Amino acid sequence: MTAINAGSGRSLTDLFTEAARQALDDSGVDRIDSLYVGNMMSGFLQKQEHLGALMATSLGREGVPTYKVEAACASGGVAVNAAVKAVLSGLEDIVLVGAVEKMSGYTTAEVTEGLMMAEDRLKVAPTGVTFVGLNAMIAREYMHRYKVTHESIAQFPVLCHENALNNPKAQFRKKVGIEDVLRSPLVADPLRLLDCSGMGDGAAAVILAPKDLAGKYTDSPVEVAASTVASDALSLYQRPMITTFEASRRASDRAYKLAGIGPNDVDVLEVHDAFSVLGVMALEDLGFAEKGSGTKLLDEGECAREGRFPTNNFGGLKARGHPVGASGLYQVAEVALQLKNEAGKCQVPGAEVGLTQSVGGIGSTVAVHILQGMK
Amino acid sequence: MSSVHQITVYVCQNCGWVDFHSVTSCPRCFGSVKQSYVAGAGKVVTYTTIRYPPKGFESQAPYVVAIVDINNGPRVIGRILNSVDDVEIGGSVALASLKEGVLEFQLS
Repeated sequence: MTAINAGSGRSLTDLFTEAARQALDDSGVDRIDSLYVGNMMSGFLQKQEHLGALMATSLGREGVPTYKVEAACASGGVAVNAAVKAVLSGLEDIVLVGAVEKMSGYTTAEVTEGLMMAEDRLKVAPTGVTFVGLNAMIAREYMHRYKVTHESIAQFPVLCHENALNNPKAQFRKKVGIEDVLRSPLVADPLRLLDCSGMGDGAAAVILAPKDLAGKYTDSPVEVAASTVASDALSLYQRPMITTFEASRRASDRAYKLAGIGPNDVDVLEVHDAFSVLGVMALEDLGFAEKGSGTKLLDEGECAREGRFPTNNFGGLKARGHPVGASGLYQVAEVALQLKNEAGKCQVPGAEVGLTQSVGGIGSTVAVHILQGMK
Repeated sequence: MSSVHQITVYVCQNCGWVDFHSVTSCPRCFGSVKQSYVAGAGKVVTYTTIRYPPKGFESQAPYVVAIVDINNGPRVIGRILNSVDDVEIGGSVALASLKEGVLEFQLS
């Protein structure tokens, strides 16, 4: 994982190769059979496509099969899913999967336009709505329907900022309070600046291999117990219910079945809190809380390090940073570190099972991973 | 004929699916669709104000965007022309205009 920041001036290739080389070095693998690259906006912002071959070349691995995977902000999570399937197929053994996004160096209006490419260009973009706006509409309906205050929801970014203080790679290492969130500038009512993730540059990578091979390279391999992707209608207005992401429910239901566990077995989770309300909804859609009562877990401290469900221990999208197409891979890498007991100050003691949730678009694609330590 | 006070919709002759956007066949059952009209009146599902617009919309901000359930019609996304302070969930709106494919509502 690279540190996430804005304004470094680093190229996509520079970011990606730093993360990929780190993964190659850490794992000690002597070859890769294929390369998967998750990214959302390189075509639009950097005018650069064909990231598969580009990154293989930059790593001196030209010759291997390469794939770019795009699923908006879930690109990283979906790239891991594609790579897992490649390993499971038996056609590729040692697979490098990385994801990268570079968002700095562009105006807010440019990036906002780029992010809207995750929505319907013909039916929704002409209204002038933004991604913050779509999430604000969810927040408004969520607060109205479940009679939850903004103050309650604001606990989510507060938790993430607190956790990011422990993560040297986090973009926003600054403590914030509930009042700071509620007094920050309005971006799209009712969402304010500190309800929203920022724009940053970053890349993350992991190496996947079949179980028997992984043991040859490391003493502490992490098992992918489940890797699932689910989708929903592309646009928010096309759904009867907007305060639940059905794709999250579908992907996590299937993941729990595949892993043979339930939410109560999860020791650490990294969820897609691009906006405060999404963090709360994730707790519900992934089965940790009843619908409409996600903030109660926060009230009771259950999402803190000492709680039952330590959440976003590296700072989450809000404070670790959200280089959109890379975030899903940061989550997987972070949970893997937890299960290897290598998470440094972010470590949740004794974590054995971890879950990640990566959301693309306005809940249109969701990737869920359940990882567990191999004892 | 369609007027600004009506909304053109596309109704599946097989399963009844209704779409505001032109479709050549039903996205659910692939049945044939027929153009129809519904009154441009509905209720606000949710709304927001866009204060940081995408490129190309800068001169219009701030503006109100909403999801609206058209009475006896489809759920749509569009603009509300009133001040955001006057808009509320469940409030009644009527179609004011259809500008370059974007539905614009007023509180009614």
